[in-house]
Amino acid sequence: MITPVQAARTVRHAAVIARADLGVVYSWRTWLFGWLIRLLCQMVFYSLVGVLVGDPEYTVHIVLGAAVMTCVAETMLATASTCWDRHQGTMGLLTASPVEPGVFYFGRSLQWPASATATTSIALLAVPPFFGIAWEWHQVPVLVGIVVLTCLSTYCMTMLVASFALVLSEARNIISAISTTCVIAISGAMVPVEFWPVPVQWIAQALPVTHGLAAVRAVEAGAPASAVLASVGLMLLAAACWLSLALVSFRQVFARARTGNGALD
Amino acid sequence: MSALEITGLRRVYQRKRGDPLEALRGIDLVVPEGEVHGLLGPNGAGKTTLCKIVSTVLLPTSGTVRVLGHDVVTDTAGVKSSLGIVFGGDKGAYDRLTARQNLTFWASVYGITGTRRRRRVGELLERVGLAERAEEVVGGFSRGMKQRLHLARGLVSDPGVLILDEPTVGMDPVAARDFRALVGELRGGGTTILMTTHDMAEAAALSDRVSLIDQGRLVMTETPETVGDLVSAYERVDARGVPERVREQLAVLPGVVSVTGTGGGLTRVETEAPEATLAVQRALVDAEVRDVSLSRPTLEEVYLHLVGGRGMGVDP
Repeated sequence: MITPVQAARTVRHAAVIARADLGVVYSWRTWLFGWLIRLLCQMVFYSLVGVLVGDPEYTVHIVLGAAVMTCVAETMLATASTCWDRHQGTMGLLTASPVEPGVFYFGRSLQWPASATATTSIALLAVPPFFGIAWEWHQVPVLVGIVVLTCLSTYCMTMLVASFALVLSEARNIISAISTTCVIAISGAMVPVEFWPVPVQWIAQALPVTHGLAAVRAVEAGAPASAVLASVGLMLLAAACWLSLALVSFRQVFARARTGNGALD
Repeated sequence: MSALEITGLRRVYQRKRGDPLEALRGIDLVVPEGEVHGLLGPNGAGKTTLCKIVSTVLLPTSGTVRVLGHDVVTDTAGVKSSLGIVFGGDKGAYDRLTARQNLTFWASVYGITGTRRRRRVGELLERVGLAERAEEVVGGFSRGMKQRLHLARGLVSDPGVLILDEPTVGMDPVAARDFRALVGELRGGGTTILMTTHDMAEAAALSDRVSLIDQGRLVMTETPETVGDLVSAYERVDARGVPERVREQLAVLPGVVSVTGTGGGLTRVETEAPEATLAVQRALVDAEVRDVSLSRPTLEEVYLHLVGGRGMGVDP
């Protein structure tokens, strides 16, 4: 059984790989003038749909939804990077090592929630004022805090998806795209959660981002701190459940690979 | 205690189409501590499957494997902490990290921390000759440099048993020679090494004993010299200027396995018994062929005799 200190150490060293990978994918220029601009354009596009509908309440709904959903799109990239070890030839070494696979993979793709925290924070703070949402200065740290936790919580969910993608690595991008679409559709970003049938609403409640988005909406509406904290608490609870499942799933994936044809390496 | 004890090891791969493939068919092998053991065999013989089972990447279908007393099925953690692995080829390192970062990561995975980790990483980089390139990203390394890094990674946990799976595959001769020199240095350190290779010269130069494996079965386990002695019956007689008529006579002598021309007017006669060798020599002398020499088979020739004409071909 891995101790918290060992887990933290594993995450820290795996995050070095994550940071190096991010440095290859983006320079600060391509991140700022490519990736960030692309996400902001996407957000503006969805927000303009709200303007087109002509309902100010819906405009607020979709502006905030589109901002928070940028974190889903970005953290879901962990599904792909989880599979990179299979192409680097390090998979066999990992399976033969004493590493706790889920803990390693949690650190292995941390570049995405880190980047998502930056993009989502900028999207949430910079774009809404153009659509009539004015943030108070005291709301800014609260919103950034919610974004940090939402990105990490969504990342916990992504870890479970990534554990499946590790087995079906050829389909990793399809798995990522379908998961992203489903999460954005039902988590209350575009339409209220209540729009969906009850069983789908229950699934939505299991998604961390649903509660993260609810917390952001609560801040925007000037709701009491208890309402914000309740949403954050539910989000963290959901994240803990997803992460636990992911840790078990990664361990199972590694264990099952031993019985098969060694297909993970 | 033996470093490696393999008893009745079988491994069957289930296939989506066709019959199951039995990669290992009852392997028995004991490797004492400190031995460098060469595992020779053609592609598909089962060498890599054996390495994967020993290194806990695969489960055996039946049989037992113990690494320094740890069972690969029931004590996986014990095996993992006792074992280092080095695969051949370009892959197996994080190309975007520096050599030092790669080793630091793997040291951390094996629970080596703080000052001990820094010292161990520094020592290994020095040992494999990469100290001056330690801060460069591995993606820019040559294959030989990468393989030296792989060796350092395999040693990072100071394992009792080191598995080298085709460690010099694809290397240029100079890099391969340097790598063998590094492995040679390990022999003195007491590390048990199981090394798979196609290269007979490599196996002969580095191994205390070699095992020949073919179609999932262990053909034999002996010292490189003994393997040569065992097939000393397969002597060969080389002669120059042998007339075609005499070649035909030699070919039908009892105990003559083959008569081949090897270019430059050289005729090679392979025999399977000392009496046959004498008969060949007598026939050559009678035919007034003066340029005659006897030689022992190389390990490669032994190998080809033992696994038959399939040689290095891939099993169907």
